[in-house]
Amino acid sequence: MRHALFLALIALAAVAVVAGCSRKTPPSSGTTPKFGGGVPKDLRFDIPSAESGSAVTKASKAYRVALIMKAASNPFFATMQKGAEKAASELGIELLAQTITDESSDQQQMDIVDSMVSQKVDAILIAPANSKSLVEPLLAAQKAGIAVINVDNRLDPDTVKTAGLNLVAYVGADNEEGGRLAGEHLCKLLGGKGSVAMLEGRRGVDNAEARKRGFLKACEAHRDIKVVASDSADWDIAKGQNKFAAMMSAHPEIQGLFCANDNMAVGAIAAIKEKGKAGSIIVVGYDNIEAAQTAVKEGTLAGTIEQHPDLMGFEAVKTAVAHLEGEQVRSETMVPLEVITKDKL
Amino acid sequence: MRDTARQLMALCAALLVVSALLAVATAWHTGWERWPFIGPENLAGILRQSATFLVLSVGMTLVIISGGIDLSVGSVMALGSVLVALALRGGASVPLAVAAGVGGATVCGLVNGVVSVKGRIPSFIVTLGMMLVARALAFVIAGGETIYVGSESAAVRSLPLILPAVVVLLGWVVLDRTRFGRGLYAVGGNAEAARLSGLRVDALRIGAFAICGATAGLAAVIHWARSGTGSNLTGANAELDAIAAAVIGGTSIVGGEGHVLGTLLGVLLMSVLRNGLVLFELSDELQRLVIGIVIVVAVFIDRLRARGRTHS
Repeated sequence: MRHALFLALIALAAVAVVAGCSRKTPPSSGTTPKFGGGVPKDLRFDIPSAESGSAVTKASKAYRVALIMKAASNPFFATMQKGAEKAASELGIELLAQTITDESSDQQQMDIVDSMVSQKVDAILIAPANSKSLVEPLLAAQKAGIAVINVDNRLDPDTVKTAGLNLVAYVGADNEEGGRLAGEHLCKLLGGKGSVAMLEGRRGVDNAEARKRGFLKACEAHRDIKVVASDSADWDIAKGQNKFAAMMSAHPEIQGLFCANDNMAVGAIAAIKEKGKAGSIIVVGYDNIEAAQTAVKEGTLAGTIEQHPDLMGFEAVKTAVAHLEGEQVRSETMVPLEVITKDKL
Repeated sequence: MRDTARQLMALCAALLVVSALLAVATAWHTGWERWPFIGPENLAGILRQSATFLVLSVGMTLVIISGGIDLSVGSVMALGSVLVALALRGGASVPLAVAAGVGGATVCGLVNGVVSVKGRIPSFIVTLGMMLVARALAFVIAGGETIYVGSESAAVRSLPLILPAVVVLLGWVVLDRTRFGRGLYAVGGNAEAARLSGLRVDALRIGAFAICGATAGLAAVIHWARSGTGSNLTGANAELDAIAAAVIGGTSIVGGEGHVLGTLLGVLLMSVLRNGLVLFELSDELQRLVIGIVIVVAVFIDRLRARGRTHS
């Protein structure tokens, strides 16, 4: 009996220490959290934004909005959270932000959605880890009277229709256009000819497939560009490194590489350095994380795509509050995309 | 057996203490406006969210008691989920699809058992291999797709509640009241002695793996009932949670000891912690930090208890 109580106390002590140290500071622009790095130094809100068009500037009551994102280890979502927190503090509502262990933990996300429903939040903003398996849990949320807004990674439209889920809105980026912009940039840097490869995101996931489509479209527009290799590295740094090392061995003629996210690009760049091919392969990434910005400044990465996740988070919260206030909201809000190159940093 | 009862009561006490403290902590976090933890919907939610976890952990408990380990349950669950979804999409009835999923998963369990027992290869290695193979098979069979086949039936909706209860009950009965169950304890405790006393050690071990595979299949069915989907991405890292819950529940990692009710309490403890930490808005990495600490401490206490017994 003593041992078990000891166990319980240790557990609670651990919770207390850890929670106390990471006590969430009240949302206000410019605060940096003490735990969890990867937060960018500035949030760019001065870009010509495709706004959700909401006229609401202050909420009539402190709505509770849950923001359920994907992997916390991806700085993309830390940025999204900052944007959402900014909107939350401006509008005077409560934001409950949640992340999951890794990009594939849809079970974990399902459980979080379930918890938020039990907690009777007013709205759920979700970047789903799986475009199909989150639909039914979200339907349950909708049936409980919760507004559901899809952010970033799209829920599968067919599944949404079949299940009868009524999404209030989608806030995101056109991933296919992003892939196309990256492809265009790479092809231009190669002078319109050469052999290129692609490291895809997680197969079957909507934004991964969209970026792939966009890139291939851009390559098709250039007759002398050939895609010689394409494989998935699951959004992962280590996998990106290993996969591209293998690609270089199998296709020594590769001159250009598109990575569907910066994590994989970082891995690929390491592989290129290891092989002693630094400077002879042009790499373009996606996401504009800090590690990528460093690489772009160094010259090892030729460019990356900025999707403005902070703006996504911001507009998603604004849309949610507008809807809760009874306003008619736009069903799709697309944030602008930018190719980030050395001169822009 | 008195020792087991005491251990279970101790776990119960731990669970109640943790729940009480989390209830207070989460209320404090909201500025005392609400009591998010103890609301009946939240508690029901904890049970709902524990469903697949519980089912997997019961199967894992049997395997660990018999002296083995199964790292493949998450991947086998993925394979099972794909089989269920494909069967349904192909027009099969729900019971038939369930049979397909559970059947396929049981076959994986049998393979695990036969290869490790007859091939005399440590189950760690064999199930590690199955972990990769099963998930890859799930990917190939489904073409990398996540397959959605929803269901409106109330019977299906009730599966996440009924199946775990049935599995826990059956697991308890098997381990406590059948020769098979007692045989598992004997084999895990001392395989040579078990063999010398006439027990069919190989069959017992293989049986445990087969049952574990079956529970992975049932977990896949529950996942489908909750989300309508099957995919190769299902059940990632599920094996680690199952092992953790079994160990916290008093299952000795070297075999010979454990109890289904202990595992149930281990699952509840971890689910309660997770839920409380989500309500507390602790980021995911910090959640894992806390749960990791709890697991290590639990095993440490388990070792202390074991050492204490051999010395007295």
